[in-house]
Formats: sequence, structure tokens, C-alpha cells
Amino acid sequence: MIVNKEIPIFLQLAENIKSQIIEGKLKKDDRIMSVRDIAATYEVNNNTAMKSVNTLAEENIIYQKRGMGYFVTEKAKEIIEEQRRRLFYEKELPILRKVMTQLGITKEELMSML
Amino acid sequence: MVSIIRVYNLIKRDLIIPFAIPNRAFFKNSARKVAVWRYALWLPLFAMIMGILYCTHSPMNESPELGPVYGIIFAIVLPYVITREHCKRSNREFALLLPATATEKCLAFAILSLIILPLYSIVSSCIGYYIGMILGNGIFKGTFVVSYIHRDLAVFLSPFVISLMLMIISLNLLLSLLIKNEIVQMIGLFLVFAILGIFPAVLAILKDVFLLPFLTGKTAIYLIYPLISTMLLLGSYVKLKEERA
Amino acid sequence: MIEIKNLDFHYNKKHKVLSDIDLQLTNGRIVGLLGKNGVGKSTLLHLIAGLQFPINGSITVDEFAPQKRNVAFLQNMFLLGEEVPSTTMTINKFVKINSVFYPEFSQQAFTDYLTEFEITDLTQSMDKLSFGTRKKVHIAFALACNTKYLLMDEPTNGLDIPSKASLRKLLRLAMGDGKLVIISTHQARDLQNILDSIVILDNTNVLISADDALITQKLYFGIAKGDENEEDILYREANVAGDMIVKLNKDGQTSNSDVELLFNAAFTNKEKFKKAFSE
Repeated sequence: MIVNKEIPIFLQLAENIKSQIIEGKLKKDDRIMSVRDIAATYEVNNNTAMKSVNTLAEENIIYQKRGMGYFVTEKAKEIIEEQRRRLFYEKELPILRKVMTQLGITKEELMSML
Repeated sequence: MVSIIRVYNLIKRDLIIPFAIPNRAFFKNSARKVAVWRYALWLPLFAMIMGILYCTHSPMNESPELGPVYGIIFAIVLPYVITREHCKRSNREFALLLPATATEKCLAFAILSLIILPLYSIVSSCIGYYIGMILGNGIFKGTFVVSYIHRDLAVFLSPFVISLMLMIISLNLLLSLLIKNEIVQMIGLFLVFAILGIFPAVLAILKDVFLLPFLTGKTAIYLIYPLISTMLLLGSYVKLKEERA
Repeated sequence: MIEIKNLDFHYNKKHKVLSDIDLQLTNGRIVGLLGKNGVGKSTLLHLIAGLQFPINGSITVDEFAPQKRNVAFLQNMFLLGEEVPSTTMTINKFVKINSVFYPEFSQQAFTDYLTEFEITDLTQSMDKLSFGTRKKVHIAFALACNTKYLLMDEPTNGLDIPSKASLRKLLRLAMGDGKLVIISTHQARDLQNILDSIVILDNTNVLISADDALITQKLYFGIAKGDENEEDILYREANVAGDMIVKLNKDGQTSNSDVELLFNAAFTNKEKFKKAFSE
């Protein structure tokens, strides 16, 4: 498995699952992989697998049914879209602005490329 | 408490190993080649020579025990092959940690030897007889050999031979546990063979000396040899329990 | 649970291998056992398995003393040494005659694990296999015996890259709450992310025994930003993206633990390292 060394693995795993939800591979009330399966599939230890699941639970993206596992919440897709929108505006947009300034790209030019 | 199933599985397990015959790659290794040539192949050769002398010498008629005894000695080669597999360190560790008690392991080894030794012994004796017949008498008399096989079988069940056999098995077991180094073990076993090989021949020569009746007498057979066997087996059991890798 | 108290061990009196070792390992973990060459990792595994006997002190595995070699203990303990047993019989035969001694053995699991290792012909003779392939057969067998305790000495030695990945996967797959796997290794990178706990042996004693959660709580592993307190840095190494550092995690940052960096930090700055974990 290739990991980005700068971001904690458990966050990368959480993002992976979030992507699956946004892409529709995991829908509302679908069961996500158990902690054990996460550890086996992505070759990580229990701590990492657990933390990724806890992160998702804290963000209300998954809920736990005792003895049955973790399932996608109703609002999961909404929450993730909101998170990623915010990330786009806070992190990616400033970079875009900077590059546009550097290269002298106007808003009109950008619009026509889109 | 001894589990019969485990003893049975231990016996089955070791029965297979001697028949897993070394292949050509095994012989290519030069150190092994030397060891095998020097120690293992000498023994059947030794068996045959003794067998020939035995068949061409008149004492054969008077000391029929000697045939099976020679056979027993060389039957030790087979358990030797078992212990040789076990000799490799990783096999040793694996065997030590195999889930069975020390008692069960010793018992399995003893029973295994009891099964294999007689079979191997008879086969070795036969080979000795045939060759002895051909070289000694110049002709091959099948019926002559058959009658000696019959006698051999009868003698096999004689107290003397059984007693001696048990002692040799116990000694073999203890030796295989005491000596970890493959080459040293081979030397040790070879020496045992040599001594035991000379023993019956000496017996035949000393036939009329007072020693022989004692060594083949009731006290020796029913008391001394079993006593020695028991001590050797106990020694093996203790050694196995205390055995470290 | 494995409980080791005041353990002393040596092969000859002049050279002590283990001295007054206290160690407690709880089940449900894959433990990495690290240390420099010759420090006694294999010896410790042998002691836990019951192949060697403590000279002083005690080892208890559940309620058993390993050296007694009770059948109930042996049925739940599997030691896979660095050298794997060689035999001239076929894979099928080997498994058939040895699996009967392990009550929890699963033939289905064995076949599945072999498939993962890309070994499909079970009629092959064990001695005709390459070292790596033979090792994989033994690893598959060890895992399929489903013992509570699994000790492995350098399991990745001799394995090719895809096989190492398979091993990681199978170890995590076969893991369970009641199981304890101890892997002695030099190849930190091979087993990097799958270790739940780390034990480092050094100079006859245990330098550290900690779960990954504790390690990432006490230490931060990552690229140096330049604003760190030099006193807090335990180890620094040059890297393409910047310096990789291991520092005391005073501000509670989350990071990925790196076994190799951890090891280097432990040996470069032993006192600070020990202090960080004793507080």
C-alpha cells in the first residue's frame, strides 16, 4: 500500500471511505467494512483502523449498531459534500488564485476553459 | 495419561519419514556424500560380510540367534534415518514442540522400532543368507534358505532376541537424544553397531567359555537386559523432558 | 496473556543474554520484537515457546509454564523459526501427518492461504521447493493451525515483495481478539503498518514495550517544520521532502508511527526516549 507520509494513515482511510460514499458506492444504511476487515484489506494495525472508524463516527458519517457493525448515516453524503466544499474554498481556491495571478490568467479565460 | 490417538499419529508420522528417500540432490552435497558413504553404506556391507561368514561357517547351525541379531543391528539403520531427519535443528525444534507428551513420544518411538526392526532384520538376514549361500556353497539352494528363515522367525520370538532387541532400541533412542550433531551421532551409532556386531561373533567364538551361558542365560534375559532397557528408557524420557533446542 | 517476571537467561555465564526482564503482553495484538543483531530476540521466542528454560525468574503463558510442555499449551502455541523444517515428503503429506496434532487446524484456511501465496500444486515435494516457497508453506501451515499464540522469527526473510504483502494481509486477516502474534524482525519496513505493539530489546533488557496508540501519543513522526524545540527532537534524518524527525509530542499532534524511525530514535537518544515513556 502506498501512503502519503505526511497525513496520518487513519485520516487517509477515512477519506477513502468518504470518497466511496460520495461516489455512491456506499449508500445510506449500507454496512461499511469492520475494523478487522479494514486492518486486513489496507494492511494497517488495529489502532489505525479503529481511529479511522472513530473519526467517521465523530463526524456523523457512520453510526454503530451494537453487535452488527457500522453503517452509513442518512446525512453522510451531505456532510461529506459540505466538508469537501469547505476544503475546496479554504485550501484549493487560494492556490488557484495564486496560480492565476502568477500566470496572468483572467477570470474570463478560466470560464471559457471550464 | 497417554492418548492412544496421539501415539498412533506419532507412529504414523515417523513411519513415513524413513520412506521419504533422499533424492539425488541430497547426495550432491559433498559433506553429506562423505557421511552417507562412510557410515550408512558401510553398514549393509558389514551386514553382508557377516552374513556370508555366518552362512559359510558351521557355527550357524549351533547359534541360530546370530542371524536375527545381525539383522537387528542393521535394522537400526532405519530408525537412524528417522533420527537423522529429526537431527536437523529445525526438525528437532518442530518435533520437540509437537503437541504430545514426552511419554507418548518415547512410546511411539519404541513401538515404531519394534515394528520396523523385525521386518528389516529379516530382510537383512535373507540378503546375507543368499549371498552366503552363493559364495559359500557355490550353488543357490532356495529351500535351504527358506528353512533358515523359518528358524530365524522362530528365534525372533525367543526371549534372548527380544530382550536384546529392546535394549538396543532403548540405547538407540537415548543416543539420538543425547547427540545433537549429525556427524557425531552417525559416529556414535556406527560404534554401537560395530561393538554389537562383534559381540555375537565373539559370542560364537567364546561358545564354550563360561561367559556365554551367563550372557544368554535366564538371569541376563529376564533380569539384566530388561533392567538396562528400563534404565535407558527412563533416561530417554528424562532427557526428552529436559531437552532444549 | 504472556507474563514474564525477573527473567534471566544465558547460554554461558560470561555472556548474559537476558537480565531481569519484566514483560507483559496482552492478547489481541500483533507484536513486533525488535533489537540489534544478537541481542536475544530468537532466544526470547524460544523461551516463550518452551524450547529453552529460564535460569531465573518465570514465564507464564495463560496458566502454563512453557518449559513443562503440556499438551494443552503446545496445542495453542506455534513457533515458526528462521530455518524451516525440510523434509522430502509432499506438501499434502506434510500437512496430513502434522495437522492432526493441532485441534484448531483448518484445511480450508490452509488452502486459502496457499492460494494467496500463489502456491497451487500441493503434490510438490517439500525439498524441491525454493527456500522462499517452502517458507510460505510453513507460514500458511502455522496460520492454519489457528493457535492462540503464534511466534515468528524473521518471517519475511526469503520472501519476494508480493509475498511480503500477502503475509501482511494474511496476518491481519487471521488475527482475532484472543490471539497474540509475536514477530521478531529486522525488516521493519516489511511489517510497518500492521504492528499493534512494539517491544525493543537492548543490552539484556527491554527498552520499550508499548502499543501503537501510546507511541503515537508520546511521539510525533513527520517532516520538520523548522519551529520545533531542538530539545524535543529525538532523531532527525534527511529526506527528499525535508528532514524526517521524531520528537516528543507535547502538543498532541496525530501522526503515523514509523518503526524504523522509532528504532533509530530509541538508539540515538536512549535516555530521552526512556524518559518519554516512563512518565
